[in-house]
Amino acid sequence: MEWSDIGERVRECRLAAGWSQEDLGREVGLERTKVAKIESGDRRVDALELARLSAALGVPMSHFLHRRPQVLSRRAQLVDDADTDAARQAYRIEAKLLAWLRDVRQLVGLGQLRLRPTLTYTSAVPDAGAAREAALWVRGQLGFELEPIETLMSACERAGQLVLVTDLAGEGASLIDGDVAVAVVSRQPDPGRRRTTAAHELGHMVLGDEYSSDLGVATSRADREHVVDVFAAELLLPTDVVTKEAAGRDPRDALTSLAARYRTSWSLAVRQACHAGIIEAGEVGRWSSVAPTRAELREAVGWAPQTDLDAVRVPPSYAHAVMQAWREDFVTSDRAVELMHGQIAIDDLPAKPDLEP
Amino acid sequence: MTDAGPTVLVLDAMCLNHFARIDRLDVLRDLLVGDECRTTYVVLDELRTGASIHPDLQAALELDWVRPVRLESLPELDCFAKWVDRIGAGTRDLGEASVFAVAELCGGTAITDDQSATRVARKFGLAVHGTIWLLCRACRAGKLTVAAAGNLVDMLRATGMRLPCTGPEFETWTRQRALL
Repeated sequence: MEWSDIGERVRECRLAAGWSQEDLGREVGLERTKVAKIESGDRRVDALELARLSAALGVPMSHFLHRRPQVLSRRAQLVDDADTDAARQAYRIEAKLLAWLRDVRQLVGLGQLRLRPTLTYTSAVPDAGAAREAALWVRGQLGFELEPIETLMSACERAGQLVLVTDLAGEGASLIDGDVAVAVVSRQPDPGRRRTTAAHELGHMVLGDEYSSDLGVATSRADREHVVDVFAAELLLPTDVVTKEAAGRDPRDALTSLAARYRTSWSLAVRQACHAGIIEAGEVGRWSSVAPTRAELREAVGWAPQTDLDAVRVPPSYAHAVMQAWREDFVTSDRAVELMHGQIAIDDLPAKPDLEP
Repeated sequence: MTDAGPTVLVLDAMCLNHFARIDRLDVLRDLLVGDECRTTYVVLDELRTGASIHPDLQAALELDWVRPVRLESLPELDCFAKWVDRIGAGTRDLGEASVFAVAELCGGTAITDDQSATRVARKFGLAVHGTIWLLCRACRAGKLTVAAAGNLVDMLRATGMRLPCTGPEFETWTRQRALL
């Protein structure tokens, strides 16, 4: 990295935050002219200024100091970086994804986290039909066959993709960087949507897409996104399951039961029912608007607690690696809590014996 | 343990903070005569912030015997970021990370009383000690009596500093660990 690269990174982050140079200067205690010189690479920053920039712009310090993975560098050349809301949002999601990638790489580097090989579907997936076949292949590989996927976090982990549930400006994004596959999923939408997003990002990985973000998708990529959406729907709720469940039953009761047991959004269940031929294409809108209530959904699963991608923010093997790194003194308690992304608080860590002074 | 102290000591905020609050920075200076004392601008910033609550801390910002280090070249910033990835990015964590980076870069000894940070720094091979170690070293060098060290321990504890023994316990506690 050169000082001009660091300056460029500061400029990008500032634009993503929607700030002027003066705004950033006010946040970090520097005059506007100094911010301008930092961005052009004509002024160096010291540790204190770097820490202030990092805090103000909401990215780790390493964001300024490390090169992007190649796939993102290539993408940066392709995308028009016009200062639009979508571009700003996409950049912030990308920064979260990169920070998550670095957390994962830190634990791998410390020898605490072993990566699983990524599950990759080698046949071409040009259309929705092929996407459904790919989803069923993944179900088979992971041993789910036609059963519900209880925790998508674990399913993704077993497929080789490490998912972080976090506060995001959009719904999700994923990246394959060499031997590491990571995804970020927003914790804002309802659990059904979160599971759909996670399944969607898993689809991108399985189908070999090196980078995806749910924002700023060019029209030329819309077909691809549709194919991946179909993959996600079939992964979460296979069409065959809908066909069998609905046979001889009231369709709404059947779909309510399926949405609850397979923990999908209502709209996804309706789309799958349409594909199964249970609902006419022209009726999808009407059906989507009559979603079951929370009580109906919980009644359908005997009121058992249903959480996925909520209290659990990081994959189990990653959480174990953080605890192991903390136990072996590779990271402090504060850093362990940071690496857990809200899954634990400092008081959850046990005390360690006193040290020699 | 030898009494030939290290040439470079890199001080974290905690030591400076509590000696400032008991108005004994001059004593700390006398204990460290013969050592090259450094701190970082990140630590000074932490102290400056603290001075709004404890005005006594202002004195710790004006020491002519502690040289602040900026960490401003790219390898220095990389080293700082590496320690932040191990220690954390909270305000106090940043001060410790900067102290460890300077200690690593100059081959010095970091002085901090944060146990969690000390464990990690030692894990990565850094020399790290706390205030009790400084006091014992001064006692061994004849710069401080054991009774005076015990008094300092009680004064420091009274300002909220977390130390592993009280003043009256100081002699027994440190002798049991062969520090005196």
